[in-house]
Amino acid sequence: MSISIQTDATGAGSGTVHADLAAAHLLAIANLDTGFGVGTTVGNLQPVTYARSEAGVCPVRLDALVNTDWPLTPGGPDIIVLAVGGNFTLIDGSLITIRGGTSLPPAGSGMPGSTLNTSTSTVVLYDTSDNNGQGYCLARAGTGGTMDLRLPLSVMLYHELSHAFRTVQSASLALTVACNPSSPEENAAIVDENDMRTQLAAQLGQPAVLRDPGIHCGQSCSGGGGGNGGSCCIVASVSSGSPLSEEVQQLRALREQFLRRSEVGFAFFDALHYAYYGFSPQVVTVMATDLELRATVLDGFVRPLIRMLQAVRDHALDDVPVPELARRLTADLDPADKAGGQDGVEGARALELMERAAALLGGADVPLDANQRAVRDLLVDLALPDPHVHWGLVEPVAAYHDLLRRRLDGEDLDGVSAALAAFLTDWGARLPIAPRWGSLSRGRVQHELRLLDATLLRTPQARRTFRERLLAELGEATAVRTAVAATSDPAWGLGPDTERRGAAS
Amino acid sequence: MSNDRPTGTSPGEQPGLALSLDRITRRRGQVELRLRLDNPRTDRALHYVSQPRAIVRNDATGTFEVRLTDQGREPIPGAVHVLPSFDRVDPSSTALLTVTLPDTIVRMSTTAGPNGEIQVEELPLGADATVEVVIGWSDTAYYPDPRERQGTAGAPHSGWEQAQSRLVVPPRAAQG
Repeated sequence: MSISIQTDATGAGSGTVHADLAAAHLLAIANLDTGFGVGTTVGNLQPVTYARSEAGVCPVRLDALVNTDWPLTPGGPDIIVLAVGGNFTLIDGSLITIRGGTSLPPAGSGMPGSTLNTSTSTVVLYDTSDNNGQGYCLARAGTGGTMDLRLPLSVMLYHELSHAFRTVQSASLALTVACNPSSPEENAAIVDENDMRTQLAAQLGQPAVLRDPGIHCGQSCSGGGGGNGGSCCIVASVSSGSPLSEEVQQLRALREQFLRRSEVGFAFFDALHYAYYGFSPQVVTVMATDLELRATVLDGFVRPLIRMLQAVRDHALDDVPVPELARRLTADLDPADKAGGQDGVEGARALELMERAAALLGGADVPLDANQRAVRDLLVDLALPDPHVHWGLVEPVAAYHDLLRRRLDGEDLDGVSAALAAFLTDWGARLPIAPRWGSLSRGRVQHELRLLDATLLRTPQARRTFRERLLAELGEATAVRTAVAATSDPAWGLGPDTERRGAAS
Repeated sequence: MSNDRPTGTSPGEQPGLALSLDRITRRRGQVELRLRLDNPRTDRALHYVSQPRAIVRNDATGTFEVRLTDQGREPIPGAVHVLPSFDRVDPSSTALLTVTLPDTIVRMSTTAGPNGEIQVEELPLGADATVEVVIGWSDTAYYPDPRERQGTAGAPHSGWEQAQSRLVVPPRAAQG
């Protein structure tokens, strides 16, 4: 018995270790070899078994790890794998998220890290939360250190098993404090890690993108996107049928090329992602096998959201006038369609979708089936109370529905345009204020405010309202106070005296 | 609002980064500490580590030490050395730093389980817990040192720190 997966943890509640994920990642390392398996659990340890038929580098390495009784830990498991969450700390209190994973040599072996291990086995720990959903961004080979390469969990585990492979042979290389250049030990593990990246790429029929073995430093991708088109929008992925669908690509482009390009936009998405991934996996589980529900979510939420965010982007960056935006948003509709006459299919369908989407948000009184009720309950309980989700995902959709309803009720384009202009002013001014504002320098706060003025805060009313909110929330920060004063119209009364009142309110 | 005296001086007895508690809020799975960081110096900005690197629970006192520093940490194998984020406070200025913590910490236990298993402990960061925040800072921005150094304890940037500032957040400082 050479590798065991820890299935539970004495002294803690269930769910603190994720044995099923560890088994899945080891299977990926075996290149989905059918000879991979797990034996009967003894205590909380589940032995890994492997009768290899795959010839690749990674399966061969796994074969050696599983089927050799290494002398460092005679009689016991040589390696114990623990798949943990983002709130895990080692004995010294260091968070797993500052390393992603680690391989601790046996207690008493005298090797680096052994003092943090209580077991006589080599312990491999890795973070299955992917840095609490934010991802780890690493140096991509051939770029001179550009940190935009993600770390898939099976690759992270293989990296740690590379360390363990040398540990159990008492053949570890030197570790240094520097991460650029990498220490010899980390360099060797990254070279091995690239074998796993190559194997994964081959499974997908894609060219391999490798990590630079000379640089062990990395950083949080903050928000899950990274710079390489990372994860995005699982509800959109499932409702549209693919993570590569046109809708997902559009949402990703809007997020990366418009919304997350500033410091506070980035921070906003950190908060949004945290809340979003608190309910979206459960919503996706309900949607997965319900085609009608998927269609409702796609046409009632995802596409309206894309159209509204695209309109905001076109207004902010391309100066497209509001009347033109109103025309584009309602171009498919004709008031005559509402009755659903000869040409009325589109309008009738739009109305039905709006009502059903509103019902999923706990609004319209429309009969719902069991799956729809389950989604409604998740959204009402977990999504709507979060200000970031409400502002960023719900309000634009509700506004879009309002514009369509006005048009279908016979309001002319001027009226729809006025409603859209009012929404843009009000919505922009209510952008949730990220705590990040409070620790920015004065120059950075001014830069962010000017960026917002040129994009979301296009009217004096929106600019003033937002600044008043910013002062009320974070006016005690010197940089915020002085930058607001420097970028405000004197007539707004946001000078030093007013600032203190705002901060105290 | 905490009544703690701001702490922290650099070795040259220059006034250092002063910390005080602004507020605590709790939301699902997280505890957010909003800290006031005051730079009393009139001539230099102070640069600081702005994200938690470790959460150390003192079992004797029940105190959680939230460390925004890597000082003293030994190099061990790992998938990636995630560099901390840094921010700064300008001279004679105040910044508000929000530190986000999990509301329950899962810690590897100091005692082994049966059959060589690893034991872990769940440590709730409840309203009755005392939290001590430690922030490493310097009056110079951090730049990576590209030289290879063997056998030196600490993370790459640990030599950059000039001093640490501390703040004790007493139990029930805010119910959130």
